[in-house]
Amino acid sequence: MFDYVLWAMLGTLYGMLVGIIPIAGVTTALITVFSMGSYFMADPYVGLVFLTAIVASCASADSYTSILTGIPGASTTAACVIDGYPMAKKGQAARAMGIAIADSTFNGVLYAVLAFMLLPYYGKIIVLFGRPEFLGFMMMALACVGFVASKSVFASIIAIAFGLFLGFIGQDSVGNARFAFGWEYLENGVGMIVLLSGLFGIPELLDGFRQGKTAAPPGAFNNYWQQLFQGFNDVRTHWRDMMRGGFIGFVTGLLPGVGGAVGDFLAYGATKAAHKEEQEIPFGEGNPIGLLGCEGANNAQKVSSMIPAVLFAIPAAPFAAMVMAICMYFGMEIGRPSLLTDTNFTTSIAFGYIFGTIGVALLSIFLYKWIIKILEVPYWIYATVIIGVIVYANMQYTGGWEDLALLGVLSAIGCVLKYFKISRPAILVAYVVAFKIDEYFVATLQLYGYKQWKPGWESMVDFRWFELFNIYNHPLFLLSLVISLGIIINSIVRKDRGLDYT
Amino acid sequence: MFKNLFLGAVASLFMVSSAMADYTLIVPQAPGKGTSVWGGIIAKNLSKFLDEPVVIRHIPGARDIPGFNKFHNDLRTDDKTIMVAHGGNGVSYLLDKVDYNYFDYELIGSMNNDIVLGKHRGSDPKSGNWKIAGGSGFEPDGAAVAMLLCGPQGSGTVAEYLACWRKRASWINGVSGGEKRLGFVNKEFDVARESPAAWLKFYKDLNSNELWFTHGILDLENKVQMADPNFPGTQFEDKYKELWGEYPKGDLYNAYKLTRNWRDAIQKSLWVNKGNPNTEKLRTALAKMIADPESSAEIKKLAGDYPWITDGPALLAILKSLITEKALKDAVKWNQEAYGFPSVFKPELLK
Repeated sequence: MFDYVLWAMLGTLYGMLVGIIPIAGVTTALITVFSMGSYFMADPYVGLVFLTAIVASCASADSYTSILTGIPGASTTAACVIDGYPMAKKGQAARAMGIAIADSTFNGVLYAVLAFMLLPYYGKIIVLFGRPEFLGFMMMALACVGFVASKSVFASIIAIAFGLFLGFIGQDSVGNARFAFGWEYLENGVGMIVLLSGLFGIPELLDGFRQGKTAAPPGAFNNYWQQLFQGFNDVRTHWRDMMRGGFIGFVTGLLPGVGGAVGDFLAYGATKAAHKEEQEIPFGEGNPIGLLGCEGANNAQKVSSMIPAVLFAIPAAPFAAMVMAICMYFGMEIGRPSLLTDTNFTTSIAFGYIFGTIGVALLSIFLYKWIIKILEVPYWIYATVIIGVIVYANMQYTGGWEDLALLGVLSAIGCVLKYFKISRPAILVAYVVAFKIDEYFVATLQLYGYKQWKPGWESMVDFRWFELFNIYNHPLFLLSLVISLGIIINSIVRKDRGLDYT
Repeated sequence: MFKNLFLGAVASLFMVSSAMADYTLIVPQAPGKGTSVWGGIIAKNLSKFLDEPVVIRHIPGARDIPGFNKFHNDLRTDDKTIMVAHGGNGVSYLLDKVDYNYFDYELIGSMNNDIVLGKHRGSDPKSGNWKIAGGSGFEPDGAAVAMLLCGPQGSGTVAEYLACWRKRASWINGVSGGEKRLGFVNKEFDVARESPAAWLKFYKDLNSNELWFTHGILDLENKVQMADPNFPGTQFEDKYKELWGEYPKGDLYNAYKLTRNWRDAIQKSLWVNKGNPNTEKLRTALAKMIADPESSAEIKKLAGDYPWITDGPALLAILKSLITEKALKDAVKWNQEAYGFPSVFKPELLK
């Protein structure tokens, strides 16, 4: 037992430390402990506790730093930046932290318990989902772009098109280079770390230099405890928004291969849709409801993403793939339904995750009083160090000049987008769903729409659309399409359409 | 300060580990993928018998080709750089534009491996349209499935099999890793395709499927394909005869043998530049690692119980003998028309 607690504590501390570093997220934290895998061969369950504690604590700490710096630690924390960072800039950093801590902890623990209760039934539910159902869900996610787009329709279209373009860079489904412009490096696609660094990290830091920023805005770290409790109170007052966000994140994580930023942005979109009334602080300008509506989705999604990985070896997100790989390294055979009968396995995951979630919350309450003071550090030091970290993180991809070249190009584009107030979160959502939409669309057509064996032009017109759109065959697919359409229409006709942010 | 201390510590650790790093395994994948995990275990165990640290450098890229190209173009002249290649690299060498060339390297060792194909229990290969989720590295699997579904076709030309394939199979491209597994479980796909270790791991608990066939492994001594000792009686040729009453033959079968052996005989392999002065030292360390029960057990647990090939010239001679103009052109044609892959015929391979 001592070993379990010790490694849960170490995992929590380590996850928190990595989470504090901008751009470095859960996947980065797991990559750096990969070589430790062999240490746990003697008792793989201890390793499992360590890994899940890292996942839980890093997921939370990642959000906290994203709110303070405006630089998403991972795609899953990008949504909380939309209102969290403006709150920090307005001197409400500790209040935003209070919201994030309470929201993350509540949703993290609640859905960890629910996830492990659901484990035995998951296998029966997930077989109802095929390619069309996943396609429908990704269409819904793409439709939610409207909630984080700009007020300008033109700028929004540019953002969505550019995000889709970035997501399509790489190779098509049969391995033909797509939008790679003859550059072999680009045939592997644009990675998430370089995208976050280029679109968000570098432009925010350079903008600070441009503004002659010297330190944090007044009041950023004043009244820490008062602000923190105000944040807790916000969560209590708006508990429905918090619960909704967690639920959406949880469901998203359950869908194999979907995961990622989709849940957070869906949660943000749902929060915005639920608050059509005039807001004292508009969404995107530091509205606490916007933050608490999406913050917990990240934690709920992290825990539910583990389920498809555990039962079917289908990682719902990159970090889940890393957990699987490290477990393979120390001899834990993840991806078997028979694991459900191994109570030691399920309790180890639950213990590690809940320990990490609560542990990082307690540590954050006391430590962030000081960590929040990074906003006080002279800007040139702070920004230089962060830029150094970003460059270092990006160089870990291949170690070649190409890593830096792509970072440079995307940073320049990010600055232009920021200047013209084109929604970068919208780009991120479109980028995240682009590849999956492509994958599911191609597979759906091949499976349900297109008869491969008809020769020549006949094959081009022979689509079995009736089979695909038959409500008895794919009711979930049709439901997703109807909801997507509703979201799109709502985004266009609503008066408070779009966000006025950069 | 806390953060700076941490960053300093990370940077220091990185510098120290870089300075200590002696041998480097180049893995053409991002961390976490199959060959990457295998490389990690090899690095750990090999370092015990080299008495020097072995570190991993990941160079990911499209279809795992750029990392191998970088080894060929920039890194191989370093005497302490070792390339970790997988079966997909072997198929790409035959059918894609790549810079690397196995004949420029020395083989340190290769795990002679296999691939397992499964189907839903009781499904009849002689009827229906079969849906198969494919991808890079699946070339020989698709060809074998085509032959099993279609049986003897005239003189066995690729054109004849293509005509049957279009009627009997739907090849679904672009379905990522684990989702193929889910698609098989929920019966969207009719065929499961796994490494032997993954098959035992993921499918042994499922009752609704059955092992359909394996490709067997290369018998280097007798220069023939032999049954997989881990799955006796499941070799493709035997299953074909069981179903259709005769052994497979013809052009598609020859193209299949070409891609199968270039994939599976070098499924997990270690290479250094030709003339590398450390070659013998590395081979000796590898031999000790293979003989060590603890290291061997760890590797078997991950990749299955398969023999190692250490005679590089003999292996390459067999693989080279399979490359004929006809077989290569047929493999390219099959890839392009059955799967839609952008394969290219490379006449330089015939030299």
